[in-house]
Amino acid sequence: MSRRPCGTFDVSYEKDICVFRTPFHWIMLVVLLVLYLIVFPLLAEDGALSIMNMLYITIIATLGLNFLLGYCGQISLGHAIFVAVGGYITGIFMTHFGFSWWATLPLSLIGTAIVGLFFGLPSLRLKGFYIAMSTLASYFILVWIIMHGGAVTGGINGLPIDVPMIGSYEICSQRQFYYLIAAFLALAVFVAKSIARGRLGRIFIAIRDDDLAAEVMGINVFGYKLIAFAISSAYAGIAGSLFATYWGFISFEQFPFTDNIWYLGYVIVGGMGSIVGTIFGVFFLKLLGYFVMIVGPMIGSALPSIAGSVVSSMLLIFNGAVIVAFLIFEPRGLHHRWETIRSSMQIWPFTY
Amino acid sequence: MGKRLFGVFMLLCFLAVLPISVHAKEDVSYRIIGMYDLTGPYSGLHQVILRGIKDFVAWANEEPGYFPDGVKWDHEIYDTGMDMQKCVAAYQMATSKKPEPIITTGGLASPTIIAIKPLAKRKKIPCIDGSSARPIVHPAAWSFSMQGCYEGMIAASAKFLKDNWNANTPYKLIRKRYEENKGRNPRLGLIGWDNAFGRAFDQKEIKPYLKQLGVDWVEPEYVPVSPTDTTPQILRLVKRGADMIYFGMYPNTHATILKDAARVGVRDKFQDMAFWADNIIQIRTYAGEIANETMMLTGYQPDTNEWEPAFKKMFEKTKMSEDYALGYSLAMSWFDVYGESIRRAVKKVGPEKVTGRVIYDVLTSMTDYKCMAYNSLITFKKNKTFGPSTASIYQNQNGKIVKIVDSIYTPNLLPGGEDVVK
Repeated sequence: MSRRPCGTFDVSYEKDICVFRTPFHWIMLVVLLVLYLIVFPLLAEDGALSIMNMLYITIIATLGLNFLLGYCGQISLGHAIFVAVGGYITGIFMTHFGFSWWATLPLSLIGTAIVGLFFGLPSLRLKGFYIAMSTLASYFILVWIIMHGGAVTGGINGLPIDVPMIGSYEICSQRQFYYLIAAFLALAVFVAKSIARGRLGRIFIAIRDDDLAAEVMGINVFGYKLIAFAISSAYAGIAGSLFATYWGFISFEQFPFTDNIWYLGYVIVGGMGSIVGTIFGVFFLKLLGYFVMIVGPMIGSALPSIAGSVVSSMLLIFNGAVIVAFLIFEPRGLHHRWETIRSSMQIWPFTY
Repeated sequence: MGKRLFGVFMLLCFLAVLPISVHAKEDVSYRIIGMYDLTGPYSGLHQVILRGIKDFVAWANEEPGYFPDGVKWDHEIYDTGMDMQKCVAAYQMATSKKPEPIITTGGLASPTIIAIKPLAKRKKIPCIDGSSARPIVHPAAWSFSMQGCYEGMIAASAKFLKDNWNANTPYKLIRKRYEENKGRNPRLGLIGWDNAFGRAFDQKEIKPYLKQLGVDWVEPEYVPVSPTDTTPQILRLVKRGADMIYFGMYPNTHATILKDAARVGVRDKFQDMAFWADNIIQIRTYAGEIANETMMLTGYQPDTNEWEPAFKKMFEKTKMSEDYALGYSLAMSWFDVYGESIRRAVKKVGPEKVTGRVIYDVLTSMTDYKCMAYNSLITFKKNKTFGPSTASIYQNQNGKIVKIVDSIYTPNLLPGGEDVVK
């Protein structure tokens, strides 16, 4: 729960459940929105914007996984393929039926949620590592279907996808895409926060903490697990649809198996069951990758003797070391570290 | 007084002319963006290619006459780890800096080149890379390939098989297959990696072309990129009677399959033909005697004796094993096409006005260019963005790599291509 200054109390239920509770929250929201929607896109070049666009899409997808893994305690090793499903639904409807991107968006959301629901069915009987294995199977099944989908999915060649239009206005530059994706991210975070703080979020937490106790309290555990799968996949569907239109094409090769592991990594490093943590996790691990992308060749040029060995493994070494370090020293993720720093600042100069 | 005024006048004239003369002496340096997989699955190969590129770039900058006076290139390196997202980010970063680059690579892997294709078209900067997978070269755009089209590689292998389908052929595995199956057409099979690259060879234009040629097409088989056991796939191909099998993969998997074939006693039941950018020398290293008779259809020159002496010397200086010669030759041939397009662009518009657009124009009018360390001639057109229309065939003859065919036509079987059977 968010800590507030001494003497700030909620005096009504509406006040208790609202996201922004104090004037300081509102000021911070406005400052962040100005930075996020005005300052950054105006100052940044295409390179930085393209990194942010991909980060934001990844955050939307990871928010979905956070519901399943962080809030509901169900491990999924197939999240990347649900992003692909969202992208392919957009691609199929745009290419074969002439839909606009906007029209395919709800179809991607609903379609991916249904696919996620279907692959969540084994959660009736399975949990823990076993459900992880069943979601892993979903990855391979769906990749096979996409690869052998012939003209419908484009098979190995994939599908070309048009840019979104608003009337006759095309969204095609990095900056235009930034505004589109940033708007969806803001909406996705708001919805996620609302779900997490509402009845559904508490039910998910109850299931995660002890599904037997939750069932005894009258919660339909299987039903809510399916809802978690559907919400998780719906987020993936939206991310996939944005991904497809942003890239201009969709191919199963854009979703390698390792992406499933990275999605888990983002949630773990950020802090399971935390919206802010998800954002931190994606930023941290993704930016680490981009850092290696630029620094790796520089080190290789400066020290040619290690260019072929150490530099070529730098990303794997960095990412592996970071995850191990987090699991040992900060198992509750970056979110917990953030909370610690924030509460220290709030009670400063006192130590507790 | 007059002399003093004259002196001041001359001094002013000198000062006015000075910036022009200084400016004229300044080098024009073009930015070339090189994106490579230095931390991902292809890092082993790409490190070698990058070494070749760096050597070639330095050589071209120093070699008198390679570029017109005052013209140089600056090769900027980014590591994509074969990750499409990183490749696009690197591309955006590199192309948003000034001066704008005039040529880029596409990350040296089909998925990343496909990702760069729409950006190259939008930014009007040609991307010249290796893969000819269909989404890259069709429809033709600003992505150029230094390899023949994939369908053409299969068709050329079929043509070679058909031409040698007789008792007098010098290639003993084909001769053996002919003697065992005289009464029927030769059969061509395909074994590829189970990914977009490996499956890109099997396109619908292949079957009618082979039928017209008198070669039967055997249903392809696919193996994982890092296989543990490929005997089921190879046995199925042998059972279907494939006389020649085209290997759509890289050397480690190719060698594994040959070893598996030898283990189950079917190595002599087919002639294997390696992919354009596979490596016949590395297959020999990995598989030893089992790789005897292996063939490779390619435009690259795996034998350093075929190269220009300066490059041979450069390669020797690296102290790299012979296994890497093909990767090194690949680097030189690619960048020689980059260099040639710069030379032509400079000649056309002058050094100050060379842009990606100008490079595109000269590339699409490049006809039969003989680039360094490469067998095939390079011809690009607006509707044909893969360079070579011919290839050479090399064979491992008891450990010695021998060029057995100097030039064989690689048909254009892309949709709308001149060799597509109507």
